Amino acid sequence: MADNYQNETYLGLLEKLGPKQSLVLIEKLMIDIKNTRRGLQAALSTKTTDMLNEPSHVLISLAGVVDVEELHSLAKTINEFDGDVFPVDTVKATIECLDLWLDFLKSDRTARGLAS
Amino acid sequence: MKKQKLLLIEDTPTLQMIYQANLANAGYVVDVASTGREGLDLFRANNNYVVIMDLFLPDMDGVAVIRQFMHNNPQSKIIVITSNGSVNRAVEAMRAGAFDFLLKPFSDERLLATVASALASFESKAEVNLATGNFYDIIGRGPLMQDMYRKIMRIAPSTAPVFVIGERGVGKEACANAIHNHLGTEARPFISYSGGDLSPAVQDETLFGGLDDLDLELTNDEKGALQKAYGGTLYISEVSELDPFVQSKLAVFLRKVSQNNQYFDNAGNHFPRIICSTSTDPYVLLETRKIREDLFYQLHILTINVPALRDIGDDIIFVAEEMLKRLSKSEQKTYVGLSAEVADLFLSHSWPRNINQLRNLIHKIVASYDASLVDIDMLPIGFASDSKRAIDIGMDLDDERFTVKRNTIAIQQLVGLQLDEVEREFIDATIHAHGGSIPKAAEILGLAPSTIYRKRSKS
Repeated sequence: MADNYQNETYLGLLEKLGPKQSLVLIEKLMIDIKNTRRGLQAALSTKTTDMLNEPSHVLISLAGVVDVEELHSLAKTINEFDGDVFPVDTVKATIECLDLWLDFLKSDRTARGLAS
Repeated sequence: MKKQKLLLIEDTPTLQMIYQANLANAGYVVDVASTGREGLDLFRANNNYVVIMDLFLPDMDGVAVIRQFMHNNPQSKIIVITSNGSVNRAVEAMRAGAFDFLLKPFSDERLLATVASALASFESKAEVNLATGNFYDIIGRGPLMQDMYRKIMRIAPSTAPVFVIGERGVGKEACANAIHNHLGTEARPFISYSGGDLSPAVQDETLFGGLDDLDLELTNDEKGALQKAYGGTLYISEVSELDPFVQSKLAVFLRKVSQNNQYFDNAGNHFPRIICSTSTDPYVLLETRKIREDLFYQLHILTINVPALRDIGDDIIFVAEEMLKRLSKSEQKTYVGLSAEVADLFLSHSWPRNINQLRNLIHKIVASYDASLVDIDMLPIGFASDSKRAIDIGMDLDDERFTVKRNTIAIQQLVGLQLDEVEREFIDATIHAHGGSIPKAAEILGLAPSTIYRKRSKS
């Protein structure tokens, strides 16, 4: 799964920023992912469609800038959701992907922190 | 233009960092805000012309923020970041004045291309910033000046003639120039014509050259002002000073142009836009037959009032200090502002010759003295006593007693005149105080404009 997150765009971004700023970016990315996850979880627990707007809007950008295709596609589906029944499965799948992404970032931060 | 400071408003830290890094790598300096409020504060403080902002802001509605930006500086270019699910909001943002929108996710190239395009379209309007009181060659940021700037921007794209109205010395030509310049940066002539001191024959020759009123084709190499202005703007200062025959000929040209949509010279340049000025209410000019009726109705389509210096309130201090800094720079002096006493005097002075008088006074001071503040001793003798006698009476201008005493003095000066005479003087003074506008004066005096015309015609 790591290859999904450790892709060319992600590596290119970190290279552009340099070792120190890369760690800052990873930290920020983790915070934003956690916030997004919290937003999706809150929407899921109350099954409130309106509450999906903000986290999915942010997630489209986050997944987009680092080119995480699967998550980006899920976020788009949620953001453009126009149905009557809350998209439980899509939201759950998105949260699972976010957890995997967080795990990857944690280990990458450790590796890079040690390397620098 | 790459050194232009951009403003980025993005509340998601990761995105803020990535967008900023991409823009900085491309050579831009970026001010960063995380909320709408922060963005508005930075925009005002740093004079940003291009803003890249997320539509979803934590503290304010993104569209409302765009409206604020456009209100502060209608020339600013707002690039909105949005997602597919919010395209309706993006459309709303465009209606509010946004320049373009970026649909998430977007590539670095797309971001940079959009910014470059915004800057390129802005380049032509670099002399405009309402928030900092900079509008081409006009200085002032108070509400009256801002209203005028907005009106200029609204009417600039039209081809209709404009009547610029204002007392002598208020900067009517600068206003006409701003209308001309606001249309774009491509080289177009702006020809200023003033025929007041010329004989009718010379007016005809200098204004129309060899142009025959039966045809608009150029017939002579000796071009008059009208021909020189083809493809641009002809500004006619104090139009009522043109001879009636010249006025009539101009009216014929304008009628032909309006009937036939467009006229072009040999080089394919269109008939010039006509902007004329007057320091008297145009309706008074019409009433007193100083302007021919046919010309009046050809010209009096769009109007713009340039406020008198005494009417712009506190803004006069800003105008004076800006002027002081500019003149100080050109004279290699170190002035930074006005002393408190001078600022008070400037506020209470009547400035009968308006901005021209202020510029002249400041230039004299800057050229004559070396200091950092303009002090009361640098003002010409008599200036202080002319400033509504505020200093002589020794009372604060806001003091009610001062107003009462000033009014008493004013009334005593009228004792000895006949009531008719006082009434006439009073009506004239009210008209003068309102830029020559009879309708405005009538409103203040609680009379019908026709009553004013009748009372004045008796004199």
